[in-house]
Amino acid sequence: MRASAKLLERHLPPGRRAAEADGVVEWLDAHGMPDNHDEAWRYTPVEAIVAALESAAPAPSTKPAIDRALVDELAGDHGGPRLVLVDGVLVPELSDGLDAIEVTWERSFAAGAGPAHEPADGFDALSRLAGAGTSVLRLSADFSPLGPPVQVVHVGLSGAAVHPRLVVHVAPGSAHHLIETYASLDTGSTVNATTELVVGRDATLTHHRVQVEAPSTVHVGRTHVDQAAGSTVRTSSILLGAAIARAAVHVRFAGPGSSLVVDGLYLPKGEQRHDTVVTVDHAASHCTSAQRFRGVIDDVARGSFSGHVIVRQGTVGTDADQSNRNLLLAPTAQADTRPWLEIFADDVRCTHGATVGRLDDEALLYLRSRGIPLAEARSMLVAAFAAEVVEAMGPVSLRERVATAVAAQVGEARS
Amino acid sequence: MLHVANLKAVVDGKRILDGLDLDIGPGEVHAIMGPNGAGKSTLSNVLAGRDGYEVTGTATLDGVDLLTLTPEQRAAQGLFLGFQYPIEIPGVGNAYFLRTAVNAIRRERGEDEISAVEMLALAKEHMALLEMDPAFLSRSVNAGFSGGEKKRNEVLQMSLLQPKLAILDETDSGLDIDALRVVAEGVQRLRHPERSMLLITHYPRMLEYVRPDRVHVLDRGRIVRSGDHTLATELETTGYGVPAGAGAPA
Amino acid sequence: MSDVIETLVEREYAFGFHSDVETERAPKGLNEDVVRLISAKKEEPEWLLEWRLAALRHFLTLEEPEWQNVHHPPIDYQDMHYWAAPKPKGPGPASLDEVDPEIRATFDKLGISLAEQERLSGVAVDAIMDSVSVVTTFKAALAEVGVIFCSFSEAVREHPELVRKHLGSVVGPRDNFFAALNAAVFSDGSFCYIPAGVRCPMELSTYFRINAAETGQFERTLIVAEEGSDVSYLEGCTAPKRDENQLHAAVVELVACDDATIKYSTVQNWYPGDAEGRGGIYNFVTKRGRAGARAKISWTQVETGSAITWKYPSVILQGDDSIGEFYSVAVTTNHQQADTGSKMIHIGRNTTSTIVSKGISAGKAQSTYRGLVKVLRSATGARNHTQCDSLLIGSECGAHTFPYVEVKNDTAEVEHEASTSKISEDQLFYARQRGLTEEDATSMIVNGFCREVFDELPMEYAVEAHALMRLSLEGAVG
Repeated sequence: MRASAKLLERHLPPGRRAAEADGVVEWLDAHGMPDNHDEAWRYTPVEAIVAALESAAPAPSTKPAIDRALVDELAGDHGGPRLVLVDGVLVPELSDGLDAIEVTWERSFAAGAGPAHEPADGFDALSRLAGAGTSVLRLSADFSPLGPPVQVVHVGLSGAAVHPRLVVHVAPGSAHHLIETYASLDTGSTVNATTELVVGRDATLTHHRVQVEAPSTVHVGRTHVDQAAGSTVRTSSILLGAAIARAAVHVRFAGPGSSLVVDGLYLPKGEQRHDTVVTVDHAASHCTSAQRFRGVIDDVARGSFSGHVIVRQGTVGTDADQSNRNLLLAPTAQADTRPWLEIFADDVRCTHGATVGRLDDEALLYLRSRGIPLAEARSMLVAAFAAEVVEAMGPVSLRERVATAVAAQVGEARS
Repeated sequence: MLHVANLKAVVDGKRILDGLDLDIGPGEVHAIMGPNGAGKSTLSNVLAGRDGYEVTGTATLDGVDLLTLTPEQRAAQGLFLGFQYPIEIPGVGNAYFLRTAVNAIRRERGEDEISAVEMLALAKEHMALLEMDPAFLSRSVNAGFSGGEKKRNEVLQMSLLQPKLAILDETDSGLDIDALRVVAEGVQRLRHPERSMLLITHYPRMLEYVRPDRVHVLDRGRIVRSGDHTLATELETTGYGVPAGAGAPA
Repeated sequence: MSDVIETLVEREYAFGFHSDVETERAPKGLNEDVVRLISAKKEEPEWLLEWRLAALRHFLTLEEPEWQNVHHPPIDYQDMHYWAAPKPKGPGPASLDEVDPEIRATFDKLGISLAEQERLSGVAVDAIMDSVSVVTTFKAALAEVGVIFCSFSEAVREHPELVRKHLGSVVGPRDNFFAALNAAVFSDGSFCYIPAGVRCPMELSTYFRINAAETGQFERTLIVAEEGSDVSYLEGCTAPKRDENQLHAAVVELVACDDATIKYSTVQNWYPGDAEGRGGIYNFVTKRGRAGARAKISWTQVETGSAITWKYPSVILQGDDSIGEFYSVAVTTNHQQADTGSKMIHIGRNTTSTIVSKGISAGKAQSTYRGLVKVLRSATGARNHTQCDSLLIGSECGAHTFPYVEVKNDTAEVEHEASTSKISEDQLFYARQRGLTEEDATSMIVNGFCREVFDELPMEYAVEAHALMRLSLEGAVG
């Protein structure tokens, strides 16, 4: 039996198939789960993710035993309304400020969804079928853009397989900040997470997706962004935790005159695998995109980045940049980078740059010659390397959390 | 020699030239001055045939209608534009570029092409006058040149191409005082009873070396004032304040 | 600008004539009998026949790869001839004077005057028409210093121990779909052997010409540079205009022993098909070199021809301090498709590689750079710099850049840079203001864009490449 069929049998809630399928079961039957032959999954240990799903239990229906203090400890609190989902289910008692925003909990994946699109892959399809429900958040025009960020916190508690889905509609002309945090207890959760951001005309959205899950977690996530004309989006992906973590970001320019920054960090160490896959689809004219990713990789970990810019035929005035730099902190660390450009129009200015290297010996020596101990010197250089991404993050509470994680990445001194 | 009448140019729906009239006789040097955004660079681009403008009106050089010609045809008619920001063309050798340009125009005029050896000798002769290092010939066109080197390279090209009408767009900008002297002397040397020049400039500095026969003030797409070379000096002290009745200065 | 595109589309292929040479061919189809026939025609030893048959059996189990960014109707591998040769008029030519005058005329027309080459230019040429080598010049002079330069068939007969030792040692018969096909049916090609310590006294060059219709061409080139030797080799290729597509699946293997240098240059101008995309060569080629300690392998290619190009000249940097280089210009116009790039596999310590790729797309063409830089755990101190730039001329073409960088050693330094843009309107206007026509200006800017690669070509061929580029973009404007 195909992996996808096995997964459906295991994770599909009773009665869901007939009621909710909407062609997704057929899609999954036809496409199955991805494997390493799929270009987008070349650097992901996809078999291990499928195996984790195959052995994981479905999410429990019992009430979760967790208090606010634990949520704060795992995910931090950056002020503003906070939605807390435990094992993929919205828990209003743990959430704050729900009355200040428009949020609904829908059982169907299709409810509140943005522009219909095919499942990105088998995992996306599975989440549409097996997810306990979808959080639909409508960020309206009258919500103060200057207020603290809206937070969505996912906590993996029981070690089950969960398929959280979040759909966010950003009203035309409005400006919002959204922080998503994925955290877990060290119970072996498998998290198959989907976020859809539907950004209205002339709207502005800053979105941080922070993955800080416990070492036994397997995380496979995707963010789909649809930008209407004149919109401005910054979306950041920070991978810190889990045994295996994959974050895919797919942005589509649906209307002209939009701009986008996609940036992020991945900091795998030990035996961690972090994989970031970014696709920016310039389907409209006069759009600007910039990708900026930094990887700091230690021990026997492996960090991978795949960036893909597509410029569609018939578009004009495209400006797209991609930059990916990787720092290997240990002789056994591995980095892969694949900055792709696929261009079907001539009125473009596209560039990309990618590097893999280690800390600059000369710079280390220079700092040490000024009396700075090796460990501190390494830490300073790594912080400087990540600064371009970290410094752009807000609020301060988030920036400090990430900066602390970057500092922690530099283990004991090696010469 | 150059006759411009009621010249209008629109770019992206915005009118930049708004009925400009200008006549330059043989051997005359005219200067056009004016504040930023007055339309000075647009005038040079439109006369040289750059794409992207909707142009109406008249512009003739020795009776030949310029506006229907391609940029290279205008060059062959003897129009030379010294660029405010000379373009870098990586990988294309300066010597090769010069010879190709000179021969393209010679061919057009029915003259014999010049050989690489002759060209080299000629270029070196002109470069010496402009205090240019012959090593420039083996470098790519303008690539990695300093601002002053680029401007000298423009004057060098002008001296080799021997145009009938030279339009020098801010050729004096970005130059230190030594470079300005060299460039201005180079321009002065090229004055000739058969050659007209149009100097477009923001500052009157260059006009101390190359004294113009007429000075015009361009504002909002038309010439609002004309006078002899003393107008430049006057402008230096009074700025571009436009006489009463022509609209309040910004 | 639209004029540019129109005239690009109207570009004429200058080498599209067909020579009336009597040809002998194997029946259509691919099977053991055909392989046996080819082997028998060439009077090959038993081991080579077995080698071919093993490759064929493996090939028949394979599916044609689909990952490359090119599109074409399915190829029917049973509907073509796997062997064609100009019919010999008596025994093979002992000297140039005995070469069939029609064949000599063919090469004269191509600007490869075999007699002239021999007398004047000091470049040794192996001329190959369809599947067989027709003549190799300068053999005697080369033999004096111990350099062997001959057709592959002759090498199999005269130097079987060398061929057997190195054949398939870099590109094995099971390497990939097209390499397996080539191993089964390869017809001829060039063989070069440079003994230890010898600097080859002249450029070696092979000129490939497809002439017969409905015929695949499958040459195999093997260059062995023993320790401390040095050789520069160039290949050129043309084919007649025909409405059907013809398959060219070649293999090139380079063996650079310790301290050896091999410089391999290609000027590829197979028939690209007509303006509507009819006809043209499918150029599916596997090229790879293995570099020993301190050895250097440098690939330079100027690709202007073929309906489809699929090739990734690669270097396995096995020895410590070895160097791999890849310099490429790929020009595609009309409906041409190119998926080309390089692989640099760093195994030895302090190995260095450089990739410079310049892609130019015009008309409805699609040009893809695909490259892999792989640094293995053993490759301490590895260095790579990759620069890929693409230039677009017209709004209906595409330029794609698909690099892969995989690093498993922390001392490696790998840098990849790329850019894609249209030909600069500012540069065009500047050059035209100085009197250059749009066509001349375009050609000049494009040549400037490719300069870094042309500078790597041997002098005689840099001129040819320049001219070829101009021809490719001919009528580009005006």
